[in-house]
Amino acid sequence: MSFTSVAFLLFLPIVWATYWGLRRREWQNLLLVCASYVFYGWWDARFCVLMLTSSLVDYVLGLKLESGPDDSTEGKARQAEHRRRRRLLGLSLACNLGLLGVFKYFGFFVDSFQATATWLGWSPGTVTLEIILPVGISFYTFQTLSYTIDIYRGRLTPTRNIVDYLAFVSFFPQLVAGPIERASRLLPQFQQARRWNRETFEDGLRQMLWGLFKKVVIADSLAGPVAAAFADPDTVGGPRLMVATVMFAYQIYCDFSGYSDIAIGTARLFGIGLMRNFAYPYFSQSIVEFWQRWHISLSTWFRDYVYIPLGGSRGSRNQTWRNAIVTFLVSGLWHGAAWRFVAWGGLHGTSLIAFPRPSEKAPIEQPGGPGLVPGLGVLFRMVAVFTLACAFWVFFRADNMADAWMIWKKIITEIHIGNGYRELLLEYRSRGPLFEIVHLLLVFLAIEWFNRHKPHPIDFPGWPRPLRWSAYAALTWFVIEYGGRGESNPFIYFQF
Amino acid sequence: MPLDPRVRTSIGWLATLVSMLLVLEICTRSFSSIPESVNERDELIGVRFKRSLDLQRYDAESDRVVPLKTNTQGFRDEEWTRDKPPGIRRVAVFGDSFIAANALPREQILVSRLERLLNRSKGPRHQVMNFGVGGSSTGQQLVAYRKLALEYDPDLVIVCFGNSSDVTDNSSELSSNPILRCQIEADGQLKTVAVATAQHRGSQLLNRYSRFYDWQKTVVNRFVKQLRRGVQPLELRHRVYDAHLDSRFERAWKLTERILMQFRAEVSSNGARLVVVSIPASSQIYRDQFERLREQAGTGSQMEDDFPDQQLATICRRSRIPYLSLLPSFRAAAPDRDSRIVRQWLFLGGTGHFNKDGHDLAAAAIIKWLDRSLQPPFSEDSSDSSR
Repeated sequence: MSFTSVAFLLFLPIVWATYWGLRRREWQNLLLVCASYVFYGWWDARFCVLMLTSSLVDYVLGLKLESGPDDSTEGKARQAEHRRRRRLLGLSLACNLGLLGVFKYFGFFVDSFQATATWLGWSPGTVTLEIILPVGISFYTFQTLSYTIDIYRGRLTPTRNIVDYLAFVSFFPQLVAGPIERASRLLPQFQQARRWNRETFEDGLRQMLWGLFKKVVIADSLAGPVAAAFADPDTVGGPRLMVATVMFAYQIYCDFSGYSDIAIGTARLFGIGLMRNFAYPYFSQSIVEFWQRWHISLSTWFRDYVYIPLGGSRGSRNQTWRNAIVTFLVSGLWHGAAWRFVAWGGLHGTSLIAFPRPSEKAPIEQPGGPGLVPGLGVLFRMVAVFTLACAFWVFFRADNMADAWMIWKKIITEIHIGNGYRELLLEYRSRGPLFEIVHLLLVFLAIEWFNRHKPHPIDFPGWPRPLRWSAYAALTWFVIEYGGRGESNPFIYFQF
Repeated sequence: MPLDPRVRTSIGWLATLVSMLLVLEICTRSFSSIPESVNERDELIGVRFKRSLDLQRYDAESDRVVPLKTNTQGFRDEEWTRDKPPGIRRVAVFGDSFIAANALPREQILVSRLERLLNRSKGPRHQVMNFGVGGSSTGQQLVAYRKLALEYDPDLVIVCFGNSSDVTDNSSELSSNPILRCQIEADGQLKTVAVATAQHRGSQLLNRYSRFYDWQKTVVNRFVKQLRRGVQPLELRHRVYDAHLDSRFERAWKLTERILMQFRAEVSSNGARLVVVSIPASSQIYRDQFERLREQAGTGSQMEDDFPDQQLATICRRSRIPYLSLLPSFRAAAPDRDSRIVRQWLFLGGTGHFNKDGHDLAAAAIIKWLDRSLQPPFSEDSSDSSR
């Protein structure tokens, strides 16, 4: 069930009203589990079996991992216990990564193996397996993995209450596209009573509205022109490809951060707090800062469970660089089973090394500095980081590596060709789709810039009620109007 | 004197409401892609075009800007003179959106094509009058004939019966928005009741001055349609193909028969002739589309793409009304009967209203049939002078 579907519009109020009507935490959690499985099974009921299996495996392994060696344990017994726990963790990793391997990467590995074998002059038989990719598998797999790893590390006590645990894994607002929550943060919320809070509820609704606006109005409007340019880049001029790349940068941002806003807002309606996933990433002044602001739940996951275990920045400079590159390559592969995603990750990893790190960590609450108007230096750095991010997005969006190279080449070699710009200008002047998109983006950018110190921009304290409500009414109008145009696209991150 | 807090709160909420409505009106007028409605409720005939329109309007179905001009009577045609000029014979064409054909320029639509074809020969000159209004039912068309068309003294009345919607539109229990209710009284007489309540007068006022009001109606209709489709994938109007008639459709067909009989009686009593032409839906022409409807209908229904035409043919035979089904001509023009073959499209986008080729084909088939079936043939007939 998608957040932008009519079914969800009916589903949410029914679940919400029943939830607060139940009052008892245990019943509320049971309702959330049932609702989440209905939500997930709306795509394909078979997906529920897969998620339940994955959840149960980690639930059982979590319980078995609980008893760790204590200080009083003798040397040999201690080592045996260590080995036992390590085997259990290995089993959890194998099960979860195995599921991902089969459902997400099987085709990729087989294709890559065949391509390499053919290149070496050997023709292996073809192996094909029609496997559908279950929606959101990468998200809930990482969430359950964090559960067993944290128990193994002694940072979390496993829960014996299976309903609480299933509610943590399957909580529908963040089930299919995050934010990827840590058990240590989310699970305790299911273990304590939730209190209805009007302010939280209202702010949740506002955040949902902003998320819907980003997805339905901005991202879906950009989807058509972007798809047209990237479908056949051979026939499209450099300037248009450049514009399409910038549009894609905003499409994916509004699509994914829009989803996160709806997820966080929806969770707040149920009295559950989810972690922030985006913090105005395009106002970053370095690639490091960009990754502190983009898909925060995933980048911190990789930091905690891949980068730091690899050694993080504790070793020599070369080791730190290696760790960063490996982390970004894996992160790229997480996004999709294709070499272009690996290249995208690799480019980000490389740019971390190639470009100087800022001397001070930018405060997360103040992207683009404290002032209303950015200084020249800040503006330059923001534009540079955005340009770099756009250049890397080409690999993310192109249909294959060859197309990505061609788009880069065309943008660079045709950047000086005036006809392409004239054509775009004409299109803008004729008040076609480009005209609408440019103005939508300008309004969007202005709203984000002026409210960048807030978790989400739709919060107008101090405004008189008529103005505030008129602003909500206008945003709602735009969501309904654009939603009805029949140009709705599934959320991009569903495919991951 | 300070205001009572309750009064102050009420004023505050009123100001909020007014300000919200104002913003919504501005948004609709500035950014809406839903075109302004060109129809208005009418106490006389239920609904008609806004009168004396002269505008260029983007039509999403044909994806083009179409000039839309209406006469002072609110129909998509030239201005008509009350008195019939000597030597001129008048043909009044009634129908729904297929006849109004908002998606195409006027010179490309069925009525204009008919006039051109009728005036090809040297005989009497013909004036073909377009009484088509989107969403109108046969009952509304009968009332429009009585109250408007009769004044222009037509010699031939063509009722174009839309297979995809007219049966449901005739029935107040099947139509989601009956504007003019037709019912059979206990004595067997047909009675038409205009649903013109104070609410509708208010609605008319809002329609005239508020784009947002118009916009929200479209949005709500769309939403309700989507909800219905979620519960029942097959739209109710498509049940017209189900040969297992449920009682509501049985009553709707009976009512349709009664309306047509009344139509014939009134047209004949005025010395003119009535013919009925069935307008096919794209799903009757393209098998792939009909298969989808069949799947949506599920088991237990007996979907037949010829069924509405057979029903209508039977009704017309019983009522002694000359009847033409356009199905054979359309199917012959799309021999593969597959909507994926774009060159055989006779409907806009392969699925909507007639495209230019569809209008041409319909006009040619009607002319051919009129000459062959009406005795004496209509194009040579001089009945107007003998009346």
